[in-house]
Amino acid sequence: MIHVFRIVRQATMLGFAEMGRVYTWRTWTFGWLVRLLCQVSFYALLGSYLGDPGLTRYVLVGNVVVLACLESTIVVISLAGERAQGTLPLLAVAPAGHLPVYLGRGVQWMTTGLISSMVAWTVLPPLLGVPLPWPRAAYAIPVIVLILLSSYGYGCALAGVALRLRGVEWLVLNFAYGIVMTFGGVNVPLSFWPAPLRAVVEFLPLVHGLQAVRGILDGAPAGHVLGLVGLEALVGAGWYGIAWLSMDRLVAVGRRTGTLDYAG
Amino acid sequence: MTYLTVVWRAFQLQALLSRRSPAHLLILLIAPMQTTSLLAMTLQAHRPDAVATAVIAPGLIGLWVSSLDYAGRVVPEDQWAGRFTPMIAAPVPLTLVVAGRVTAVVLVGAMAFGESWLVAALGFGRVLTVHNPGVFAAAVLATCLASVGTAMLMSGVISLSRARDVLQNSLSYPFYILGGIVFPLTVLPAWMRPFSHLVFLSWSARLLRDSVHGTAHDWPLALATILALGTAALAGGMWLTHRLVNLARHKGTVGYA
Repeated sequence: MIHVFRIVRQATMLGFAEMGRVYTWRTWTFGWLVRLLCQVSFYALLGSYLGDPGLTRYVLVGNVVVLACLESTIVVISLAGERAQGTLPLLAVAPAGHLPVYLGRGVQWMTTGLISSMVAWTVLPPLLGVPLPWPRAAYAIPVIVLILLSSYGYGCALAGVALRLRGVEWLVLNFAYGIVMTFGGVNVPLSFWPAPLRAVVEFLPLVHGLQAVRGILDGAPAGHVLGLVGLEALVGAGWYGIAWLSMDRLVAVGRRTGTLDYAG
Repeated sequence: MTYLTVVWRAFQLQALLSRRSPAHLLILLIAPMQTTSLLAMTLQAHRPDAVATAVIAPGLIGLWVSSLDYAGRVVPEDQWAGRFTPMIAAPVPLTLVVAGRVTAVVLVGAMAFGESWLVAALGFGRVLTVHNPGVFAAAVLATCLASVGTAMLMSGVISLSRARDVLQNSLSYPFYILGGIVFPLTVLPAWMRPFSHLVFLSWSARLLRDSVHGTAHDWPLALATILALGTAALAGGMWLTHRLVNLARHKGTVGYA
């Protein structure tokens, strides 16, 4: 266990060092964070234009929570970057084994995802005139953390595609995040979509977690909320399993064919 | 070689580069999903009057993303790929080369208008009928021209900035809000509206929506304003590109990636 924590710690340090090449704390706060808050406000303002405060709150909650998914899935870019720079084999020969190291390559995005979704969770609802019911809103925070984790697994699984095909990482990231945002119950309830599509959407991260968050805010029974939380955890575990198999096979094939250090 | 030939050749170069870079087609992946999201919200709220907004907005977003993301990377990518030095040495102004290239990028973004129309028609059975097709076509054309001007400006600003990635990652949604591309500007606080009038997207969004509904009574003013804002951005972009070249020559950093 200590071993795993050490890898996570090192991965986080590496991730933040990498982020430091692009952002200072000022540019992150006044650039990226403001952009995310504007993204949430954009949809919430559309909600207020289209409907009543109920719709505004529905859209606002969905878009705040989806920030956790957005940031977690950026791991696709971090992992694809290793391939482009030719550093994938170095990670593969790490004494800890390639899987924990690969899976730890985007831990920093979960940290920033937590910060940005928490800032949006506390700041935007009163600003946009639809305050959340506190302290109930605080009970939703652990569920948002779970969504961060399950979305990270989803991002790692899809990074397998970006690691195998050259130059598609931004397409993969935007597709991964886009279908969750479009069909995952963020702006409209799942019941809006046809039944076959709903059946597929059940396997996406965020979907059940977001329903749990909405349930907590609406005062739903604890059993119902816990059931949804369990489903979110199950979906997340499934995506980690896919990521694990995908990366294991990538390294196995790469070792056999000597292509692991190809830059995509 | 005439100036127009230079622009055309630069356009062709960008088309060739974009064909080899799948990421340049990102907006064509995003637009259908955005249309679906916005249309779903509109229909769920039983607001058929806002369908036009949901169909037009992804096209405007497409143009903005093209201007910001790809056009902004034109000069830095040339520097990384080692193309910048021969371009500076060529006996034609770099400004014209950049103008031709950003035009190609902006045209890809403009395809998002067609995509969103198709998604609405095929996915939701909502065929958007334009009541003032002449004004609508003129508005799309003026918006594309303004986007080319803005893309030139973005290219200059981003190339000269030390925080390129930050700018590219941050200047999207704040401008979608300021531009009122999915809601009328009256939704915004009063103090924000004067800033909106400085963003061509706000004029374009209103003119496009009004032309769809057949209520574009003040279209000459709106068209003139879109073109004026685009021209101002183009002038700023050309000046910045000129400055970029002079600075690189002066400091001896032309060959730096």
